[in-house]
Amino acid sequence: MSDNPGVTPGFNIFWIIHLFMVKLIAVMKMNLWQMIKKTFVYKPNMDGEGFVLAETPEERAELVQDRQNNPDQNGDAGKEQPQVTEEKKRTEKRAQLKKPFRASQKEKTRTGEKGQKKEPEEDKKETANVEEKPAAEDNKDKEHGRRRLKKPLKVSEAQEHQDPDKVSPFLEVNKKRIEEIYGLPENKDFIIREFTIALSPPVQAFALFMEGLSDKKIINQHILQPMMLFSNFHEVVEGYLLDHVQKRVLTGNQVTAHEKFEQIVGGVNYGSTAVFIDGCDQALLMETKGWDHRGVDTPANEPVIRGPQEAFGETLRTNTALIRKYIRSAKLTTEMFKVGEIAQTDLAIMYLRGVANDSLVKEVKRRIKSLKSDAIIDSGILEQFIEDRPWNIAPQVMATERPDRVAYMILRGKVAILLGDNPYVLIVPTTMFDQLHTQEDYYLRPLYGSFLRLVRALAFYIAFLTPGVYLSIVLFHKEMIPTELLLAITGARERVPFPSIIEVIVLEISFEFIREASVRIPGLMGATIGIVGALILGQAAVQANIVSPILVIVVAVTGLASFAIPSYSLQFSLRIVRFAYIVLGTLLGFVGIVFGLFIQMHMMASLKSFGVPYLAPMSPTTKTSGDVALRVSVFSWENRPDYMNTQKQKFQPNIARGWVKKDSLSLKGSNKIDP
Amino acid sequence: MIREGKIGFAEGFALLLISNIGKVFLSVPSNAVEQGKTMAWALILIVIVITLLEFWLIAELMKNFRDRTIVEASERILGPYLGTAVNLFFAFYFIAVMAVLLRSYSEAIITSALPRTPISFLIITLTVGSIVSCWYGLESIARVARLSIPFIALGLIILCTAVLPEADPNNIFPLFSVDPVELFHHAIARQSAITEGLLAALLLPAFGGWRHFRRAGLLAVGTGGGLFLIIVFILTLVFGVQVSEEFMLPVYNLSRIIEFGRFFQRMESVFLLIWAMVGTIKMAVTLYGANLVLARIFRLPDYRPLLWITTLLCFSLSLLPADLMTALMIESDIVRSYPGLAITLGLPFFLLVVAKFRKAGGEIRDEAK
Repeated sequence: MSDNPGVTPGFNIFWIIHLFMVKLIAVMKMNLWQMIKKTFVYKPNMDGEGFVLAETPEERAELVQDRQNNPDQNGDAGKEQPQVTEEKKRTEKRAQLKKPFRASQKEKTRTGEKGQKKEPEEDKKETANVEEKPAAEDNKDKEHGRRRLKKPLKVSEAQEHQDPDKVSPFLEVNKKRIEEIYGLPENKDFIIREFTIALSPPVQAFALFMEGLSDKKIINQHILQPMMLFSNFHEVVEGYLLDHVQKRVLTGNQVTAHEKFEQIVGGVNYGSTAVFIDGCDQALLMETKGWDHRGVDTPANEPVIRGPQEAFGETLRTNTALIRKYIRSAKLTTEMFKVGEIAQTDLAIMYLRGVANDSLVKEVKRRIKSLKSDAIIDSGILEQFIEDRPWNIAPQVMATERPDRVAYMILRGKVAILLGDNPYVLIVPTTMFDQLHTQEDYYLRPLYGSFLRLVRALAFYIAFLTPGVYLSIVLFHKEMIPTELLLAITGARERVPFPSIIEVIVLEISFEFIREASVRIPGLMGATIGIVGALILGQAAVQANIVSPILVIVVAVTGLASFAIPSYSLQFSLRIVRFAYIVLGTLLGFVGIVFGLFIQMHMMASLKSFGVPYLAPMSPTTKTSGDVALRVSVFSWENRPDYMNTQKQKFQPNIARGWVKKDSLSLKGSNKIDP
Repeated sequence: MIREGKIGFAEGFALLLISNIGKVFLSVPSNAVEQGKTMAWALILIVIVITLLEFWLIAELMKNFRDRTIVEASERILGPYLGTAVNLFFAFYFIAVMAVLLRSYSEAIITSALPRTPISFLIITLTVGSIVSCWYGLESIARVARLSIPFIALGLIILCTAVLPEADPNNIFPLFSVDPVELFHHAIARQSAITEGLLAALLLPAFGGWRHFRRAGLLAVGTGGGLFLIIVFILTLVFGVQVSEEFMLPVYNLSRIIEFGRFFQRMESVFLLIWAMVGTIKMAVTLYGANLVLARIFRLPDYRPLLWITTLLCFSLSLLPADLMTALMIESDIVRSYPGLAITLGLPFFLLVVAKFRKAGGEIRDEAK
């Protein structure tokens, strides 16, 4: 609480004497009842009558500025209402006050009115903290008694002047405000539980939590039970009631005090429980998150034979923990943000401090902070928001469900972006070659890993070129086909009435139907549709002379090859460009294919993913870490990828296998070769 | 000014190399055999030396203009009017080369693979490719060139080794069939005009250092010359002088005779992929050169608006020759002969001499870093 700004050290002696005198008089007047009453209030300068702090000079200046900036709204706000006692009217007025643009105006004045865009909540807090810090530091060493006294206000005045953004010391006021914010009692998800804290004398309080997102067991056992039953273990409440409850009564692991509704509501909306206590102008927010979610499961879309069998789930904190399990380093940094004006989804970025390139981290943060949308509910949507060129066919962000993969990428200097409750984690930057690698490549011995990569490289070309090349050969370059094969193809095609292009397009589209249907169809029938689509339909089409058998083979091989591409997004891009190559092959044969390759290569070469060229390290050529088309052995990964420009280039020393060196020496010693 | 981006040594080398070997896939090796007979290899050796000298000359010229292109250099050396005139010659040369390339490659494709396709359609296709490439800019072109190098190298290695069984060593004899002076004359007059020197001098600011530029350029010109030598040598060995000099597309004819058993025959279409790729990159970079010179002459912040104009000009020019023979004649008698040489070698030499002379006067000494 930094409510005493402006107290300069020069006033110290005067202050001490002055406050001492005031205190002395107060103590002399005090009786037992007053003493107990005093314990219930948080601010040292509150008496039994009840009042709130008058605004500080800064706040006053801010208010004046506010009114100047926004005369209409603040005219309303500043207009003194007649002494109407109906609570309803007051709440309406407060509802008007709590308009987002007012808050933004406030921010603007605080951040110097540079016309900056409104920052997300995190930033606001930071700015506010920065503002409050000097004052807080000034007063750090002072006791409460030495704080500046404020002018007391009457209750009615207090309610009128109560900032709707802030918690009021009056429980009823807070309750009304909560009802306003959540639209209670119509909104059934939010529960207000009123209770009495078992102190002597008892204190009224209420807890606010959300049905479904919070764990009732925790609320019962760690909030209600201690407050209602065990809070009188210490008969004398020392210090402030709020501190007492926070430090000695509530047994939850994360309890924080907040004075702003914005923060409290944000917490409650994400499963925490807020406790409002009568007489306290702050509320306690206790972490009681607990909802039904899928546990850590095996990766459904990126399975490996060798390697860990766990995948991310729908809980952000579990996901960060899964990554942290692999990198138990203090340097692994998790920064949290909120995205979505309404949805307020949590977003975490994780990187290795001291390794990841600073400008990369800054760029990731810049892009995330700049997002303005009501909601970003999935990492797929986030990916489209942050990628460089949304209309380029190549995926520029990697999405994975494997924690080990994310950990490995973070170790290489990349940045992971975890969107709240989303089982796919985004990794930036990414390159074309990353999209073609799987994590299993690294777990297998170098020869096996390299073999897999070669197979996949072949699959990559087959997946988008085969139908186009087939058409080119059949239509333009027949001389390439050996006579026997040509006879076989021609014989099979003889009874097919369509031109080759129609044949290819019909079969390719059918294949796409099968693929799409097998994804959308309910689980049990998935296998059936595969058999029906692939076998029966294909066979029947051949027998009915709609397509030639060789084409079925071509399309099937293309489909298989596209399934060998590990990245789902890259698969998509290849599926789409395949049709372009079909058209080009039909129009111009191999020349068309070259034309297509030429354009596609330009599209790839011009692309950047968070500043890293998409085709690095091949083009532009940078030093390779032996991990591109093939894979060197694990002890040869001395450096992190050059194109990442990491702060720490070295991944391991040149001789990573210490035993090699040692053994050869000991061998020499044992054979007595050295003189 | 124009933002060209940066290209590394590997990309710069790949770009200049591909630009240099573009001619190998057209009728140039046949012309070389025609001029040099069994001594075509010696002719090419002379050509390599001359082209290296040519590049070295341009590199020397650019030594004092390390962060500028040849356009600014000529304006500095000769003054705004004469300099602009020289630069316009450069631009016209690039446009002429582009037009000839469009025509030659289109004709080559028609001859080898798509006999019934209208030439305008092919020229449009190649033009669109070049436009897209130029639109993406130098960085992309250079990266694509770098990406294509492994495939091109693989294809050429397969080509050269696969035709070796057909080679007859007797075809190289008699060893000294042509008068050396005549050989020298042919080398200069018919084979030595290359665009790579001018092109590299245009891309100098993107190279990230004059030394990179000189090294990449010399290496590219040398390697390209070496490849030219190998192709001409193999051509002579395999087909002999009489047959070789008749070919319009010697590399295509070489690829036709490749045989790996009964199954792999008539693989020329596969090699079509390689030389068509080289051709498209060569055309893209030439068009880029033309646009860049013009944009720099006109002090434009971006060369892209000029793209449509220059492309249309190249397109129209490429369709002007009545037939293939006329087009080939224009190429060998104008673009690759003395007029071409005057622009690619003569003008830079003139600029260098003037620069040295004026430098002695101390007027452009401040240009040197």
